[in-house]
Order: sequence, then C-alpha cells, then structure tokens
Amino acid sequence: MQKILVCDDDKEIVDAIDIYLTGEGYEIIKAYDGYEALEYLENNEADLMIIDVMMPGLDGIRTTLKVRETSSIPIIILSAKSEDTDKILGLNIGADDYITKPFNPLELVARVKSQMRRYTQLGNLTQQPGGQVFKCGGLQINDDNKEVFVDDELIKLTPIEYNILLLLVKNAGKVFSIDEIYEQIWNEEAIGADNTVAVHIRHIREKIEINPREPRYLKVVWGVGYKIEKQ
Amino acid sequence: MDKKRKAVLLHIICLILAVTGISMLYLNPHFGKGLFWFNSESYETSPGFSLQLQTDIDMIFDYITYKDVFEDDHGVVDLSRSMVSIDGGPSADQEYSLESLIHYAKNCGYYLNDNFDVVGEFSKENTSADDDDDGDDLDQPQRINWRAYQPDTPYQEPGDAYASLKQISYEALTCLSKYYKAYYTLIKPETNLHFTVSYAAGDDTFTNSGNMSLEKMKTLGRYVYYSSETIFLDTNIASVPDNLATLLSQNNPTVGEAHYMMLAIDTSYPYHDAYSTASHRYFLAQCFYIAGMILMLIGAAGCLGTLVWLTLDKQLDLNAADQIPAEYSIILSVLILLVGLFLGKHILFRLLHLVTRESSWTYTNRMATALIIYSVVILEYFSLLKRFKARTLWSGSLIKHYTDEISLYFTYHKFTTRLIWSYVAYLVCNLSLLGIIYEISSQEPTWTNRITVIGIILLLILVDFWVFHRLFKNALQTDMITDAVHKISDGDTSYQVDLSQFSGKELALAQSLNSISVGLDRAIQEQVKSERLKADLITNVSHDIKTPLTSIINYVDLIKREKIDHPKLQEYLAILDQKSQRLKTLTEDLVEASKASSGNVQLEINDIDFVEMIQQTNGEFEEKFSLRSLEIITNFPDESLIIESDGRRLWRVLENLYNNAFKYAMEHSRVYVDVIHEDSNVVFSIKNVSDKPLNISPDELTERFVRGDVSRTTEGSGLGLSIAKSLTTLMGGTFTIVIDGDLFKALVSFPIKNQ
Repeated sequence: MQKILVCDDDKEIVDAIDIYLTGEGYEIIKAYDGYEALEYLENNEADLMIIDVMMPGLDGIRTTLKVRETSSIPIIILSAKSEDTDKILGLNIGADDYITKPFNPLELVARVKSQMRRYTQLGNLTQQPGGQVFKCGGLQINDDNKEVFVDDELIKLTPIEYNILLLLVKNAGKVFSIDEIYEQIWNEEAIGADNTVAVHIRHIREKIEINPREPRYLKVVWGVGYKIEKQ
Repeated sequence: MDKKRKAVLLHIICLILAVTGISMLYLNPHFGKGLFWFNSESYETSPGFSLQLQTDIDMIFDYITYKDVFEDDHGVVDLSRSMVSIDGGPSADQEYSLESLIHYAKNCGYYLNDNFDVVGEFSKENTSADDDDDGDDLDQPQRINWRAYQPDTPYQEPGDAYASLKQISYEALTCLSKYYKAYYTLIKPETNLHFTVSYAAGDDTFTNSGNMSLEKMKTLGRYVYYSSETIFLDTNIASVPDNLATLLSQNNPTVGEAHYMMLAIDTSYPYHDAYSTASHRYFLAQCFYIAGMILMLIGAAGCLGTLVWLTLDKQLDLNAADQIPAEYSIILSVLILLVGLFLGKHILFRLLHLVTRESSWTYTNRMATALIIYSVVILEYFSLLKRFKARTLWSGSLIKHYTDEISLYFTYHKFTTRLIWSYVAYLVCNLSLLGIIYEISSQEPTWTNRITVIGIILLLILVDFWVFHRLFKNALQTDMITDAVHKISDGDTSYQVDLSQFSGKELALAQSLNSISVGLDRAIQEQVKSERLKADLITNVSHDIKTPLTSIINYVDLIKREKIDHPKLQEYLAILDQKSQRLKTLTEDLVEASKASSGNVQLEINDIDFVEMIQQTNGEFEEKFSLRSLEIITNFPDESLIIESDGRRLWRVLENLYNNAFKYAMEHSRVYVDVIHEDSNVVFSIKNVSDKPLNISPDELTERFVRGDVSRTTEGSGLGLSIAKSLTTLMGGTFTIVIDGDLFKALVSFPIKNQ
C-alpha cells in the first residue's frame, strides 16, 4: 500500500484528506507541522507528501527544501496562498504540484494519482520504443492506433479533437493561432472569424486536464493562440 | 594685539612710507622726469650745468674786461690807477684814482663784503634828495671825460656823459666787484674749469690753466673750443651759451686778428668749486629720487596689500556706527570730510607751515588734503565693507527699506492695480522725459544742450529697457507658473517651482502653488499607501478565511458522500454547498479587486490580437451561454487588431463581462459582441438586455460590491465589473458602462499598437 504523508496544522483538513485518500486505497500518515513530517521521513519511507505552507514552527517551504535534500518523492503543496508568486516559489523550490485552498477533493485525488503514476510507473514507459508515439510529460499519443493517454489513462477524443491535439503535440512549444489550426485541420482557408476551433480546444482541455481552468498541457495564450507546453 | 590691529598699523606705516616717497619725488628738482632720464641725463647735460657754464663764461669775460683796468703788469690790483676823469669846466680836469673812488664810495655807504658783492643800493633819487644839505658839488652830476672801466662805451643819450661822483664811485665799485668775483672764483683758486682766451694771435692771452694744450683740455671731460679761424664750434657740451662768440669778439682788443677760446671742465671734479658742489647735489637728488620712488612703491604696495587683507578678512566686529543705514553712513562721511577739509584749511595747514619751507607749502597743502580725503574714504570703505560682510549692506539700507515698502504695497494689491500704477508711472516717466527732450531741442543747439539731450535719451532707453526687463521677468515667471500648473495637473504632483527665480507677488503665487503641490502629493501618497495597506489586509484576511472554508467545503462534500436519503437534508446540503462555493469565489474576487484597484498587479505586457482574443473567449463561453439559451451575435473586422496588453488580465476582464452577461441577461435573448476599429483604438462592446430593471447609475455599477439587484441573492461577488474596470485602466485602456433602460452595454477600448 502506498504511503502518503499529509502535513497541515489544521487537524480537520488532514482528517478530510485522510478520508478521501484512504477511500482511494492509500495509507495516510498524519503530521501537524514541518518538524513532525521531517521526523517521520528520517526514519520511515513515504511515496508522496502533501504539505501546507503556513504552519507554526517549520513552514511548508522550508520543510520542502529539507526533504528535497534527501528525497525525490512527489510533493504537492496545499496552500491558502493563491498568488502567482506563491505558486512559482513553491514549484521552484522543488514541489511537483501546487493546489490552492479551498480545494476540490476530486481534483486533489486526481492530482495525487497523477503524481503517483508518474513516480512509480511512468519511469519505465519512457524507455518504450514506439513507432508513431508522441510524448509530452504525462501526455502520450499513439498515432498508430489513434490512442491518447494522460498519465497512463486512456482518453476518448473525437477525430477533430485528436487531429488538433496531435498537431499541437507534434509541434510542442509552438503557438498556433485559430486560423492556423483551422487551415491545418480542415484543410481549407479560414474565412471570417469563427469560434469553432476555440470550442474544440475547450473540449480537449476538459478531457485531458485535471483542472481545465489551470491547464497543464494545452495552454491558452490569450489573444495569440494555443500551444502544448514542451515538457 | 590681534592680527587686524597689526594690519591697520602696517597700513599706517606703509601710508607714511608712501607719503614720504611721494614727497621726496615731488620736492625733488627732478620731479616729473621719467625713469629713462637716469640713463639719458647726467649733470653735465643738465640745465643746471648749462646755467653754471653761462655764469662762468660771463665771469671769464668780466675778468678779461676788467683785468687790464684794475691790474698792473704784475697781475696785482693797482689802487693808484686813475679811473675817471671829470671835466672841471673852467678849472682843470680832475682825475680820480681807484683808491679815492673806493674811499668815496665807503663814505657813501658802499663797500664790498666777503663775497665781493656791493653792499648798498644806488639810486639817482637818493642822491638828489640829500643834495641841499651840504651843498657839496661832488654830488652834482658832472661831465665825465672818460671812464677807465668803460673805455669804448659810446654815450648814447645826452645824460650819459653826466654822473655824480657818488654814481661813479658806485660804478667803479661794481666793476671791481665783478673783477674780484671772477678773479677769486676762477683765477686764484684751483678750479675744475680751465680756460684760455687768446687774442691778437696769442699776444694777449687770458688763462687760469697755464699753458694747457687743447688736446690736454679735451681729455678733461667737457670742453669748448672756439676759434676765429673756423666757423665750427668744437665742443662736447650740449648747450653752449649762445653769446659765446659775441662775447669773444666784443672783448677782442685787436679787431680782425686771429683769436680763440678754449674751455674745459674736469668732470672728475678734483677741486671744490661750484661744479663739484652742483654735481654732488645733482647726484644726491638722483639718489633721493630713486629712494623716493622705491619708498613710494613699497608704501603703495604695502597699503594695497593691507587693504586687500583687511578687505578679505573674515573677522567681524560691528560697532554701533555700523548699525545705521549705509546711506546715512555715506552722508555722514561726506559731512565729516567737509568739516575735515575746512579744519585742515584753517588749522592744519598753518600748523604745517610752521615746520615746512615756504616753497613747499602748496605741496604740503595738497598732501594734507589728500590724506584727509584718503582717511575718510578708507574709513567709510571699511564701514561699508563690514556691512557687506555682515550681509547688512543691502538689507539694512534705506533703499531696500523703501523698495520693500513699495513692493509690500504692491504685493497686497491686485495684479490689475499693480499693472495700472506701473503703467501710469511708466507713462509719466516717458512723457516727462520726452517733454524735456523737446524743450531742450527747441532751444539753441549748444554743446551742453546736445549732451543733455543725449543723456536724457540714454536715460529714456535705460528706463524703457528696465521696464521691458521687468515685464519680461514677469512673463517668464508667469510662464514658469503655467508650466508648473500644467505639470501638476498632468499628474506630476511632486513638482516644485524653483522659488529663487521669483519675486514680489509672483513669489507668493509660486509659494502657494508649491504648497498646493506638496499637499496634493502628500494626499496622493497617503491614498496609495492606504490602498496598499487595505490590499494587504484583505489578502491576509482572505488567507485566514480560506483555511476554515476549506474544512467547510470538504466536510460538506463528505456528508454528501454519505448518501443521505432524507430529502430535506439533501436540500440543506445543497444550500451549504452552494453558499460555501460562493464564499470561496467572494474571497478570491475580493483579493483580486483590492489588488487591481490599488495597482498592486504585475503586468506582463505582450502583443495581443484582439480579434483572436474575442474568438477564444467566445469559444470558452459558447456552451455556457447556451445553458440559458443566450445567443452570441458577434461582429468583428477581418483584420488583426494588435494591442499591447497582459493576455491573462485581459481574459479576466472579458471573462467578467461575459459572466456578467450570462448572469444578468434575460433568458432566450441575444448578447451582442462587437469589435470596432475606431481611429487608433479598438473598441470592444458587449450588449445584453437585463433580466431585471437596472435602476442604478453606470458609475455605481463599477463600484466594489455593487450589483444591479440590491438583494444580493444571486451568484457572484459584485466585484466583477469593478475588477474589470480596474484592470482595463491598469493596462492603459478605458472602460465605460452605458445603461439605457434595460439595455446594458459595456465598452472596453484600447489603443492599437503602431506597426
């Protein structure tokens, strides 16, 4: 059974997380400040850690830094601080994901699962040879049988959605405007403005992203176009 | 004794030195001669030497004249020689010897003193006055047959042949005096003057130097050689007396025969005589002249040096006299000067005359006057200087006092009053000056009149230029104030006017302006500060709210998972869920709104195609709008409209506006989205018909926590439009809301980027 270390000074939140993740079949170790978390990790092993930032004693940022000195387990920061700067700081010092409070329990579970998969299983997949396989982080497209996997989970896409995603993944990092995408996929000149492409993109995002409002893969570059983040 | 006293003492000493030097120069016989004179002139070329030479040549010929008259063959004065023969008329002619004449002269009171000068004054009136007393016929004019001392003088007037014995004896005595003088000056003693006069081809020779040859004489220094055989005057003396040749031929006993004269002065002056004395005196005068010049220079330099030192001296000790205004001090000085000059003229001059020679009285007077003026001027100078150093020269002066009063008067009057008065004064001044010019020009064009007219024209130009200068300065100040007002109104509230450029009423204006800008700046700073504090407070509070909110949301969710069948509990749970979600949105919007309105947002400005942006936004909202059967009607140009903006923030603005339409638009109605290229701006507008009456002003809608319905029951925080407006403004756009009945219209406009 995989062990998840949950560290937050608010006991009720830890308990709630305990309930959700136990239901998903994980074993939960509770800690109520940074020192407790570090103390546990010194003597025991954990497969993932969820940690709050604002805690008495040792805060989440410094705890993460300490953990990163010895361990490479996935760390998800769970904080009430929702500023961009807070998120950037958290991710920069070694956290793998950042969830803001109040959080959606389902999203939390999804993110935990995602991190777990990447940490435990996906390591092998990168070595797999594939004829027409395109990979981008947790996103994997097998062009031979037109299958799309996100964190090892099969996703169902319509042919147009598939083609758009394939275009973007093939050219990961490049920004495509709506007109460019239209011309590439429909093979005809884009006449007039239309939200068809934008609607399709939104649908793809809803299918492959955990939180479509904060997409990890298919990003909206407002006023310019869309792109798949190169990972 | 401090340094200052020393300097003053030094100054006085130097002054004395300078006065001494000037006196030495001024009273010197060489006064007025330049420095080059030392090189170009010696005693032998000086006028003094010429004069002496003239005297001596006269004397030589006196000697030549009287030698034969008075001397016997051995060169001794023969007293027994008869001098005069008087016509006895009927009786025999009577001759008088030199001795008897001298004797008679002594009886008449005439005799020779030690210098061989004749003592006693002869006059014809005297003789006739005491005629009647003794009846001596000797006093009566008698006819003279001949006079030994005037052998060749012809009688020119009838009376010339007649003379009293007294007169004759006086004449004889005078001639003897001349002879003796010449003899005892040139012949008897050893002198530096050597001469030889030779007549009759050397038969008749007069000399005081034995047989000294011409060549020998030429080596002595200065010489003159004049010979009847040549017409040239062989000499190295610059100013040989003009009458030399005349005298020489006059005394020639044998007319026509060869004669010559040679004369030399031994410029080494081995003997003590008039030349050596004069030469020595000349040398001394030169020395004194140089010494005087040096003393004057040292004194003047010392005076100047101490003056400069005292002028630059920083130390100040003001006394009571330095407190009075400078003008009074100057007037006082002038009075003191006048009194000093008066006292000097009537007392000091007389005292000085007691101790000085009469010949130098004029100079003494002048010097004393100069010294009095100098001391008064220098004292006044230092008095003014002290004021200057203490910075009271201007501030304590009467002129300043009065100009201040006048400007005070003007300062407390309006600009118009001031302008009127100034203009009237200007006009009066100009007209009166022009009147004077006209008046004088119509008179005779004398030189004084012309000069006066030119002077007044210059004055007029000066006055007008001054007025122009004042006007220009005023205009300049007004410009600066206008500039400052513009700057402040353009938002540079910290702008301060440079007060040093202002004066008078403008200064007060500038000061007021400065205090306005200071006040404004402070107010804005405080507002910004308080906005930031508010934003910080809201952020912190929202963090504190979020933690318990997380538990509420999570436990509501956990309860929901318990699969409760109770319909009422289900309903309650739904409400709890909905409200906790709304609380979540509210806290997030609150933070964003406070940040946006305080400008505490980091913008990432990029080039954005506004049309593409709208397409993307439409794509995001299409399905959501269809939930309430809202139809989006879009209308935008085919071209790309590039603006500079932060994409995510602009998305937030559009999202809020679309959400707003979604929430408040009437169901089954249309939402119109237009993008128009208007001049250099791109204008986005979104229009919808409100579900509920909009009895609220557009301005209030963009205030925080204001919604169309006051009941606050619907979804949303009431911050959406406020956030949208703040963010738009931050990104350099304009945000307008128009309400026309139930029609709600939001306009967002951005400047198009110049390609």
